[in-house]
Amino acid sequence: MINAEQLSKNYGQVQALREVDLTIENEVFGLLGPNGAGKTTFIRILATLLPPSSGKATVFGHDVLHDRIAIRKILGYLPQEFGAYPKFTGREYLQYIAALKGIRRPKAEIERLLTQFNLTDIARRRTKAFSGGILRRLGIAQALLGNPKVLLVDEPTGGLDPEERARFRDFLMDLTDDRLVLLSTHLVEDIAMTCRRLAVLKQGRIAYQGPVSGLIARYSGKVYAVVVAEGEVQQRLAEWKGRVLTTQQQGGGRMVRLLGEVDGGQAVTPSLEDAYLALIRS
Amino acid sequence: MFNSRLIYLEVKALLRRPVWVPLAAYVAWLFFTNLFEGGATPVVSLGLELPFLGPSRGLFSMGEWGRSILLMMELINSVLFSLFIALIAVRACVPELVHREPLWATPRGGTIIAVKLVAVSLTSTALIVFSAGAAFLNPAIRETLVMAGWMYIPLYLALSWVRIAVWVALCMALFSLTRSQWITAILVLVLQIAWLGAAGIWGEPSLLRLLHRNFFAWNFVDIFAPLGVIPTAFLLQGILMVGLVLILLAVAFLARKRFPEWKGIKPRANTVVLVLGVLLVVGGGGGIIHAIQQQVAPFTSSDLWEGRVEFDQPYIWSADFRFLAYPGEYMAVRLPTGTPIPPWVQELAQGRELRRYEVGTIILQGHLGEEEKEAAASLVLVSPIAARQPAELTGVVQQFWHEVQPLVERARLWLGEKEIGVAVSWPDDAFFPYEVRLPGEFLLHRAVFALPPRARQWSASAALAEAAGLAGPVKAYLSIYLMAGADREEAELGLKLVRYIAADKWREFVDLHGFNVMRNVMRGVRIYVREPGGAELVLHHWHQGEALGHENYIRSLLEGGN
Repeated sequence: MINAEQLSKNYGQVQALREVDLTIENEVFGLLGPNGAGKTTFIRILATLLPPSSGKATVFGHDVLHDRIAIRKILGYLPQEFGAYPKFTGREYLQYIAALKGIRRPKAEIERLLTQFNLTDIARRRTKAFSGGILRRLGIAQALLGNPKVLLVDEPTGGLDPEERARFRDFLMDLTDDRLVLLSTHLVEDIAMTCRRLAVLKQGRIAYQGPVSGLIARYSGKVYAVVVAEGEVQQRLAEWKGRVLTTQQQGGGRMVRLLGEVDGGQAVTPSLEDAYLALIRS
Repeated sequence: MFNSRLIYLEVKALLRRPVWVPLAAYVAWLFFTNLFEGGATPVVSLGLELPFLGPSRGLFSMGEWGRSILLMMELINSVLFSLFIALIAVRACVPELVHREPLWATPRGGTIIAVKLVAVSLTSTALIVFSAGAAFLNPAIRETLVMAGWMYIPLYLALSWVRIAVWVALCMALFSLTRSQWITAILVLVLQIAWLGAAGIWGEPSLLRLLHRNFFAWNFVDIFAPLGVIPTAFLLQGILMVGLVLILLAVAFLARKRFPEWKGIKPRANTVVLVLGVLLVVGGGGGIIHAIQQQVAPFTSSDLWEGRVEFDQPYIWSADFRFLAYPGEYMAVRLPTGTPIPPWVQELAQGRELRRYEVGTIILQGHLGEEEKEAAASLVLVSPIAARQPAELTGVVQQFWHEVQPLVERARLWLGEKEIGVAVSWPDDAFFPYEVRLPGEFLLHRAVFALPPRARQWSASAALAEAAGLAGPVKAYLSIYLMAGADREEAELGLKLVRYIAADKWREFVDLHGFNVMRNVMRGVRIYVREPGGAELVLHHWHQGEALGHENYIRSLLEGGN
C-alpha cells in the first residue's frame, strides 16, 4: 500500500506538489494529469529519488525518507526518460540491473522477460541501436526484474506505436492482484483501459481520487453533443468557449462535445476523457 | 557491497569505449620499447633472476617488475597515464549521470560510483602492469640491487592499484563538480604535473620531498630498507591514499547536490564515508609526517662533518635532509675521521660484526654540484657475522667484474700491471641528487649499480680511458677500442654515433636506435665528441688504428703524446 499524507514538494518558488493525500491499495492505479501537474515529482518521491519538502509518504509501511533501501528492495521503476547504458547489450543491461537489485541467479528470469517483451532477437545488440519502442520494452523488463511488489511506471507508452501501446496495456492488465502498479500518464485512454481507480493531479493538488466510474458519474447528464456545420464551427466554438471538451469530424460538419445544455444538443453518456477534461477545466 | 558481476559488466562496457585505446597503445609502446631496449632485436630471457655469476636466489628479483610498475606511475609516464585514465574515468561516469534513473532506485544504486571506481582502476592497473611486463623478458632493463622477492609483489600491486584509484576518484570528484570531461582531464593533468614538480626530482631536499620519497618508495625493497625507507610510513601511506579515495568519492556525490535533481538527498552512508576518509587522511598523513620527523636529526650534515655535534641516534636524515644511515640488517655509517663510534651503533652491533675503515678524503657534493666540500671520513659497517655483505652485493660486483674484464685486459696497454679493484660505496641515497664520492676517477660511480649492463660497460670504458691521461678525443677513441674488446657490435654502434655527430645528424641516430642507446654510448665517449672537431678527431684516430693496428697506434700515441 502507498500512503501519502500532506505531501508537498517545492522547487524554489515553484510548488510542484501541494498537500497531497492519497492512498493506493494493491491494484493498477492511474495517476492522470496534464503536463506539469506534478505526476513525475510524485513518482520520483515514491521511488526514493527525491525527498519531499513536507508531509509524509510510505510504501508498504516504509518511509520514503528514512527507509529508502527497504523501499528499493520491493520496487520496480520505469522513469519517464528511460535511457540504458549505450555500451551494454539489452541482455547485459538487464544483468546489470539484476546485479543492482541483488538478484542472485537472474539468468532464467532475464530470458523469460526477454521472451515476454519480444526482445530475445535483439538482446545481443547494444542499446544505443534500439528504437524508442524497443527501449521502452527494455525499460519495462528491467522494472519487472525481481518480481517487485510495487511497480511505478511514468508515461510508459510515450513514443510507442498503437500496436505496442495496446500490447503494453494488455500486459498491465495481466499483472496479478498481489502487486501495486502506479501508472502515471497524461493519456486518458491508457487509464480507461487498465485502471479501476485513479487520481487526477491538477497544479500539484489532487483534484479527484476514486473509481474511474465515479469520475464519469460526476458528469453524468452534464455532457452534451451537437453537430455543427463546417461553416459555423469557429463562431460556435467562440460562443461556447470554456465549455467545449472535444471536437470530432462527422460527415460534413463537426461533432462537438461540451459541458452543459445547448440548443440542438443531446445529452450523452460522458466518457472518461470527457470527465477528465471537464475536471481539469473546471 | 561490491558485486563482481557489476564490476565485470562495467569493465566490459569500459573496454567497448574507444577512449581506453590511447592508454593501451601507450602501454604497448612502452612494453615494446623496453623489450627492444639494449639491441635492435628483442633480447628475450624469461624470468627475473639476476644474472649473477654466483648462486642466484631464483625469483628473488620479481620485485624489479613491481618496481617498474611503480616507476611507471611516478616519472614522466605518470603525466600521460593520468590524462588517459582521467578520460577513461569520466567516460565511464557519463552514462551514470545521464541515466541516473532507474539505476539509483535499486537497493545497490548507492554503490555504482564505487563499482565504477573499482572497474576503471582495475583495468588501468592491469594495463600499466602489462607495460612493466617487459622486465620479465628483457634482462637489459633489469636493474640490480633490487632484492625484492615475489612475496612483495602483492604489496606493489596493491600500492599501484590504490594510487590509480586516487586518480580515478579525483576524476569522479572533478567531473561531478564541473560536469566537463575536458576540464576534468586537464585539471588532473595539471595536478599530476604539480605533484611531480613540487615533490619530484627537482629542487632542494625538504620534508615534502621526503614525504614524496616515501610514496615513491624508490628503494623500498632493497637490502637496506626491506619495506620502505620507513616501514611504518609505508603502511601509513596506503591508509592515507585509501582515505583520499573515500573523501573524493564523497565529494563526487556531494557535488551533485548542486543540481536540481539531486537536491535534498542526504545519504547517511555518504556522510560516514566522508568522515571515515577524513579520519584516514588525517591519521595516515599525520602518522607519516610524524614517522619521518622522528628520523630527521636536529643537526645538519655540515654540523656533523665539521664535528660540532655527535651522531647520537640512528637518524636516517640530517636536518638538511641528507642521507645519514639506515639501520637495517646491513648498516653502513659514514663518520668524520676520529669520531668515536656512537653508542647506538655499538648497541646494534651486539652479536654481529662491526668493522671500521678509514677511507680518507671524500667529497660531499651538494645539489647540482653546489656546496662541494671535502672531509676526512671513516666508514663503519655492521653486518651479520656469517656474511660481511649481502650475497646480492657480492653477486653484483662479480657480475660487474665479469662485464668489464675484457675492457681491463685491453686497458693494460696503458695501465700496465697496475692493480685494479672495484670500490663500492654503499649505502647511498639514490633519490636525492646528493653524492658522496672519492677523489679521482674510478670504474664505478655512485649510480653504476643502477644501470643496465651495457651502460655499465660504457661507463667503465670511459673511466679506464681516462687513466691514459691523453687528450679528450683520444680518450673517446680509446673508450670505443675498449668496448670493441667486449662487444664489437656495440663498438660499431658507438662509431656510428660519432659519425652521425660529425655530420650533425645525431637526431637521426636517435630515431634509428633510440635515446637510451645514444645515452649509453655517450657515457663512453663523453663530451669529447661534442667539442668542435672532436667527433672528426675520434674518427681519424679510429681509421689510423684500423690501418696500423690499434695496439701499435695506441702505443705510438702513448709514447708521443697526442
